[in-house]
Amino acid sequence: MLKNEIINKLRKIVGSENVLNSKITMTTYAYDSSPFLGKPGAVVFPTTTEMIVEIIKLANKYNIPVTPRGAGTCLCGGAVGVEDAIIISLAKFNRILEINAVNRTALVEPGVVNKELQLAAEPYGLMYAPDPASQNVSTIGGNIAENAGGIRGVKYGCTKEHVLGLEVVLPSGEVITTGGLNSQVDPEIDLTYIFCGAEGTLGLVTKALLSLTPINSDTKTMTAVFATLEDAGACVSEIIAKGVIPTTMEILDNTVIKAVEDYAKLGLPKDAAALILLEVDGFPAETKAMVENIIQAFKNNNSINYKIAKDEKERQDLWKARRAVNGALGKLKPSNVVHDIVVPRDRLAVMLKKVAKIAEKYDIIIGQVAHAGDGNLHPTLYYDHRIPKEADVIEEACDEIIKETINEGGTISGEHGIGLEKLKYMPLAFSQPSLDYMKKIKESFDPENRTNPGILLP
Amino acid sequence: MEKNKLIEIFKTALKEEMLETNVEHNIDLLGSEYKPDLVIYPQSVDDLIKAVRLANEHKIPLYPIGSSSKFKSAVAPFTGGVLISTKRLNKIIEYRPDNMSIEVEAGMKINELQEALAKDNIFYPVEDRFTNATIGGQVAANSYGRKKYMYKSARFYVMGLEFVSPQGELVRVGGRTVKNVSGYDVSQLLTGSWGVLGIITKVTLRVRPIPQKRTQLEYITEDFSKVTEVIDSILKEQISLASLTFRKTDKKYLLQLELEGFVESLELQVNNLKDKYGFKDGSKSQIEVNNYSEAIISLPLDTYCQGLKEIEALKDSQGLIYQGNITNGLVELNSQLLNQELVNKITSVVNDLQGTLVYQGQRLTKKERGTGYIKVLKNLKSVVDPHHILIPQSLVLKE
Ligand SMILES: Cc1cc2nc3c(=O)[nH]c(=O)nc-3n(C[C@H](O)[C@H](O)[C@H](O)COP(=O)(O)OP(=O)(O)OC[C@H]3O[C@@H](n4cnc5c(N)ncnc54)[C@H](O)[C@@H]3O)c2cc1C
Ligand SMILES: Cc1cc2nc3c(=O)[nH]c(=O)nc-3n(C[C@H](O)[C@H](O)[C@H](O)COP(=O)(O)OP(=O)(O)OC[C@H]3O[C@@H](n4cnc5c(N)ncnc54)[C@H](O)[C@@H]3O)c2cc1C
Repeated sequence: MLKNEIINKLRKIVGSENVLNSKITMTTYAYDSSPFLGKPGAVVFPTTTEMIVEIIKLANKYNIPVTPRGAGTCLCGGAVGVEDAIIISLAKFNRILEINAVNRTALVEPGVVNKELQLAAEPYGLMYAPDPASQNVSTIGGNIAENAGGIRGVKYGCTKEHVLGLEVVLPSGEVITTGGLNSQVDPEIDLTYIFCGAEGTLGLVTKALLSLTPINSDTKTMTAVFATLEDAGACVSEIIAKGVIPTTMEILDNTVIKAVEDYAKLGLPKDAAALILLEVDGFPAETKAMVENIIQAFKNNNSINYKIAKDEKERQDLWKARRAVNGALGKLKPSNVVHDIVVPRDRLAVMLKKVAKIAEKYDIIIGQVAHAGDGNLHPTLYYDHRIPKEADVIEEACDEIIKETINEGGTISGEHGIGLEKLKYMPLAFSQPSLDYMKKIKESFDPENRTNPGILLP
Repeated sequence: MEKNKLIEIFKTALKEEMLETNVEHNIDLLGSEYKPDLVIYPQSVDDLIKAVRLANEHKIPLYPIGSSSKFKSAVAPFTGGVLISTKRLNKIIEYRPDNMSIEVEAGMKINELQEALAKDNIFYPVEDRFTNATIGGQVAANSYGRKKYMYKSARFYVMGLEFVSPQGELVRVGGRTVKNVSGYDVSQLLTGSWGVLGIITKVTLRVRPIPQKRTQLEYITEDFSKVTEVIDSILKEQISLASLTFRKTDKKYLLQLELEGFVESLELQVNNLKDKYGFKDGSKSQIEVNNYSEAIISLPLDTYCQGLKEIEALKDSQGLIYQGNITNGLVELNSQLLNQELVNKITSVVNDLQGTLVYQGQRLTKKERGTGYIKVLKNLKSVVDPHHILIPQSLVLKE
């Protein structure tokens, strides 16, 4: 519990209506989208950088930890905070300040919802390329803090590739501006990118200068079905090696195909080992050439059935299977754990196979959906949390998946972050000197360890 | 420390063939105002670690250096200390064409890298006119080439790094996957850190397929207003624009435009540009704007033409604007025609347009990063390099 004195001071800074500390609301803010629980002392909703500076100064004076929070869709426990932390919600600090069609940039406050930026850019023929599946609710600040990836990531990259500059309130309460529009002509260290993916542990992002991307005039969507994972994996490799850069390349394994078919009845072949969903965009002449190349790859790798959408309706039909995944899998068991491993793209098929073997070995259900074009797998392990033994088995299987990922030259998280969830795997991914160097970064930005403490570094 | 004593220290751990005392003959582009006592050419990462540990033990300043082409712009002249060259760390470590990734040692030269990739129709998109530049130097400086508009800068291709910390620990960060959010993105911090936070030993780069076609177009006019008109309009076109540059010679303005992409769509674009603006097929020789030249301005795209107009309108500005890389936002001035009064006026113009002016290595325009910026950088430097061994007088840590 935070003292009344603190609560009153917070009210002075942001206004009474923007401070929450009742027991009930604290319970709702104890969650993000992970299984982890916090115990916040208060939630505040600043709407200016100055307010945030005041909050940080107050927190520093009374030695209270703070945790920034966007929409709370974090999957790794990064937004819940430690006991009695002040949760700084950026949800109301959410204006789009400028869209510049010549520079192709947007200047936004951190609470802007990803989707709103997409909608605001569209009239200019532009898009904000990062499009995480949570885009209807997740915020730009949260996207930056997690370096969120999206379905268009194969071609356009993750969040950090679209960040040009930031305004940040440092743990000291000082405000800095990083990056900018201009090409560098004098030597300078650009701090912008260390904040991307820092999970809010090095400071609070209070403004972001983002680059926007022209929307391409033509899109082609395809699906292909394969009898073996090897064929599907080889097909992915061939497409990448051919130099075709698709916008999207998703793969669903047999477990997922079956679940989706039972759930949504789309006429998918339930005995297929894999389904690939592919999209390319560009000028019409380009997409035509890409589609030809891709179909060749489908054929070369024994695709048993492929489809190309002829119009928007057919395109939506092809996307249905991918979109139904979450709903379908939810039916299998009451609880699940999603992993976010990444391997080099040439190891994708091997990794899919290894995970399938692990499912067999532990006799559990693992559904696999992967951003194949990025080598990013999301194996989802299903269990019943009411049966303690099942949870233990799942934990063991997870450990083995992580171990195999690292053996394949991959790493433990592609887009969801470390947070609390993957702390225990950090020493597997990094040597002690490498972890020490990261700790030094944290120490130099936040010597008192007050900004989102306890996450990211073991 | 006396030079001989310093050399003796490194001899205890490193073979003599790695130690070079004749500095001038070994480092081409460094001026005589740089007077290190010794150059070390480590032959392995272990050698490099040994050197860094010795330097810490004996408090000897170390200066990582690649091909020395950009060193001077970031490091003030000094006497004493040791240059540590990556020249002999120049191997390919791991090449995965099916992953579009390659891991190389930091001393590998850009042209060697491009050659190795070209046989698979792949390239590293941060082209450097100075083809002898090392990957390590390029990454440490976060370099960008003429086509930054299309390909951005080195940092966007760095997936992972290995480096030796200023205290002599071997650190590996990032990896060989295109997505990676495991821990802090230390690769991004070291990229563009100008050698002050660690000595890069290996770099894993993401690379790309060579575009099907590259095309150049030209446009010549004597009418300045036409130039700005075309620039403004081109920037709104939906084309595969890689670069747009200009040069002024006598009374004529030459505009050069490069497109990269698929054959068929480039054909359509070229025809359209020819019809709409009167562009002609281009010559092979490229306008190159050096981003570290004597007098250089960097502007946001939306104020670029405004900047040109205001400089042209200044008194005595005849011939001042020499050339520019429009898509990189750069304007290069003819520094011989500059005097103090003009410099002041241009500084004010550029300030108003949110640009940067660098004249004779000095930034004259304001930069508002907040005082906390350099403070946190210095904190970081002190924490990772408590003895201030790595480039103690680096200009990037100056207030
Ligand atoms: C259904 C669903 C689908 C998802 N799909 C994807 C996906 O496709 N790709 C993907 O990458 N992720 C995905 N996620 C994960 C999540 O949506 C992303 O990590 C997202 O970026 C979090 O944004 P948020 O606004 O919800 O941030 P929060 O969850 O509130 O916070 C996330 C982290 O960012 C920090 N933070 C928030 N705002 C700031 C700020 N202004 N300054 C500094 N730190 C800040 C927090 O402290 C926390 O550590 C998904 C989640 C769900 C629930
Ligand atoms: C004719 C010419 C054309 C050029 N064109 C361009 C251009 O188009 N775009 C552009 O951006 N630059 C250009 N440059 C500058 C330069 O070639 C490169 O950009 C390159 O970054 C410098 O590489 P280098 O090996 O010479 O580095 P150096 O000059 O040796 O070093 C540059 C900086 O990096 C540090 N450093 C070097 N190696 C390491 C390492 N392994 N670990 C840590 N720190 C290290 C040094 O201490 C120094 O601060 C040009 C130069 C010339 C001479």
